[in-house]
Amino acid sequence: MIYRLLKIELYKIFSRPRSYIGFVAIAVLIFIIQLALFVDGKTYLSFLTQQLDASFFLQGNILNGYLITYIILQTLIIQMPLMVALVCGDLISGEASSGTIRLLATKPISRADIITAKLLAGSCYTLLLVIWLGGVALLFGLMIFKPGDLMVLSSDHVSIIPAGECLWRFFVACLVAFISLSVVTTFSFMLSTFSDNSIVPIVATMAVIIIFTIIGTMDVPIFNNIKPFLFTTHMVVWQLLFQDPIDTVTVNKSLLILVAYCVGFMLVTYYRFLKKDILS
Amino acid sequence: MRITFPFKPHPNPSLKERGIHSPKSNGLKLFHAFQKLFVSLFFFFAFHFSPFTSRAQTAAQIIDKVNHNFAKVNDYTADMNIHLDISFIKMKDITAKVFFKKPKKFKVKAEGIVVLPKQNPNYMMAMLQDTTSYNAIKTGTEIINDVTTTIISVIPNADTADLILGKFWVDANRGLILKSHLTTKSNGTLEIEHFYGSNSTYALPDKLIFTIETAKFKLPKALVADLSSNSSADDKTENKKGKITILFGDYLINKGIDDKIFK
Repeated sequence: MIYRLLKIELYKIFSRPRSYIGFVAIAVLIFIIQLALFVDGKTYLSFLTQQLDASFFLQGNILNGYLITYIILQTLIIQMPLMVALVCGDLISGEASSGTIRLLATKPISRADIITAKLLAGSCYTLLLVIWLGGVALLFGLMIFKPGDLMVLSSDHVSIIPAGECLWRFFVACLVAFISLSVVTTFSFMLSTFSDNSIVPIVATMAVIIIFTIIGTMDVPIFNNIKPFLFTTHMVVWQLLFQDPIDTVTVNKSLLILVAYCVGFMLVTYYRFLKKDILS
Repeated sequence: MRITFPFKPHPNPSLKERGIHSPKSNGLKLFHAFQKLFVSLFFFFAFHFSPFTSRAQTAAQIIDKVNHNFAKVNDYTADMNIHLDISFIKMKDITAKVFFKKPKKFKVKAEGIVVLPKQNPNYMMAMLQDTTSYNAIKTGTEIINDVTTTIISVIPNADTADLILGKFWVDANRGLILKSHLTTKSNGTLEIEHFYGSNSTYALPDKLIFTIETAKFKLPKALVADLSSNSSADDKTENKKGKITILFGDYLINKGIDDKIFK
């Protein structure tokens, strides 16, 4: 039953034009970034590495496909929650605003099955978005710029990952990014059950993410106690997979927190939808 | 008031004044001459045949000896293993191949990214070979790894040179640099420890340890889209020292290298 419901929900998602906005936007941005780096990547890179160049002699294919993919992931993953919220925030509220929720709930299917199918469909969409981002960026990056060691520039250090280790790290990073974005999926989905209007959960999700991100990036002591509790703090944990050695303790801790958020939001969603008055 | 009179010779000048020497004074003069000769011969033999011969060499002579060793090398290739111990660079050991050809052609080939000090391993040797471009002064001796070394300070003649002062601890007997201390305009102070093995006759080291001053590495978070790191107490440390250890192996010396490799 769940499988059939999931198929229907996926059909609903992919029959709406707004669902393709994310894929198109990602493809366009990847094309723009790769074109810009192909044309003027050396200037950009020399600007980034000027501090290193002052003390060291750097040699090798630094501007390679893996670095381009990393830059794209780093730039676009911040925008991904918007694309996820655009679809997942509409899954229940969209049905509520159009009135189809009543039709759906009167069918001989449990509400729990409906919500599970919608949640799985939302997660599938998120996963496809992450695969699209990672896959397209990596494929075209390697085709245009060729593989090489990955130089990861952080604000306070540089990590150089051997080329042989990059592929599995990108794969795991995409998996971790999917878990991170699942928090956005479940959060916007949860808000969707509270509203009969699609705009509210989408905008509310983005507003919360923006507020949390700003708090997370500001180096103000008063925020330091709050930061560990914000899911946005842990959503960037995929970046730690490109450190050597990988801080597995922090990665695991962040993943546990993200999963806990997902479970929490899902429980609220189930409770809310099972109790939801669809007649009013 | 003191009145001075014009000089008047003594009415009875002495024998010496008249050019007549006594037999006693001639013997004394001869004795003094032999004494001088003996002392001179003693110092000559003492310096030239003692184990501390290097003390007698001038800075230029010692550098000539160093240059003489390296002058035997027309070209070489070697395998390199580079280990970085720099707080803000995290990377695994790198293996690379180094190519050198006289006078200054130098190339490192590796599959991945290579991080090396600005001054390549042959930087000093190339610099020391142009003896007209600097002044060398002996400034003392020091024992390094049970070897008595002569400290030679090198000051470039040109103001435009990147090197401000070079200090070399040289094993004068073997003509090998065991330690260098370079003060440069662009990179601050750089210390290099040299360890030699079977290729010491060519002045080619088996191991080099570069100790460099590293300024605090900081990039704007927005520029690198780094949302994961926060400033910590460690950030307050402005300058640190980092080490780069280079191990050389499988030297192929004077086997000929095609110029295409350096392009």
